[in-house]
Amino acid sequence: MKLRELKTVAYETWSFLHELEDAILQPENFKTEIRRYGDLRCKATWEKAYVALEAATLEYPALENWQMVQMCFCRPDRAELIDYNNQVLGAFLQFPDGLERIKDGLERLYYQPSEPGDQQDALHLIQRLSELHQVQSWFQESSTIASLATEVRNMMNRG
Amino acid sequence: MGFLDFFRERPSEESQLDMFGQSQGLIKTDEPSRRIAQQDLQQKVKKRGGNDRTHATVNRKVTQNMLGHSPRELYEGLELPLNDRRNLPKEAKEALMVGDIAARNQIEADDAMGHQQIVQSADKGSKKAKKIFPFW
Repeated sequence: MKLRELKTVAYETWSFLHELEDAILQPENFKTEIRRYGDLRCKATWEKAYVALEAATLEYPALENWQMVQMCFCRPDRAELIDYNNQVLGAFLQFPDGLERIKDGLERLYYQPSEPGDQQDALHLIQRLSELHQVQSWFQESSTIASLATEVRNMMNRG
Repeated sequence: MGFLDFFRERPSEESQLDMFGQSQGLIKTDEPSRRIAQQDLQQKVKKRGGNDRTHATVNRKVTQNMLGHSPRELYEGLELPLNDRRNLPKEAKEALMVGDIAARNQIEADDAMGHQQIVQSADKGSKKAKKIFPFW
């Protein structure tokens, strides 16, 4: 994603977060907000800012956990969320209940799928979670998604 | 027009073809549920050009309109640990289910397409539906 597009999606995401939180948007504060992530001339700053803002919008409890997992992490359709999906997932997991919410959404998708492919997508996301933490051995030993998710949680706690 | 007229005139995509290719007009007798109402709304939003943010905005509007609280106020007010409607009290679930159905029908009635129109219709539909509940 080019820097110009990244700046646009960062602003849209910042605006959307205000909309969700019912907060008054003050456009003049946008650059001050982004400066928290570094030098405004660096692409990495805008990437970090977008990822943090996107994770914050997902933390807002508007989508149920299974919808968030399905629409945002398994089958995203926005270009920025496709490009930075692992980074947003990593940022979301930093929230205190982030892993619990992902686990809850995964269980629901696996045991009560609403669309064809939900179960396969849930398993694929578990695989990505394991890769995200560069831990794979536990994955082969577990048989159900619930135990897999528990293992992820334990792994996170230890890490 | 009553239900029978509506039912007889429903679009052909909802009827099914039998093994000889003839339209059967099968009656779908699935029991409605809160989960199905939410899934149907999600599919409607998607089919009409909405994305995950459209659905998040619709959920926020429906919750605010039906219950008088934003989702954050609701979950924090009830001290519910997980963001999932299955943890809500029965009365709140009922209102949200009605809100989802009202939003979906309004989106269809308005022929709403794209984020803004979908959100506006969902807002309108759920505002109409909220009046039957005792907390208003």
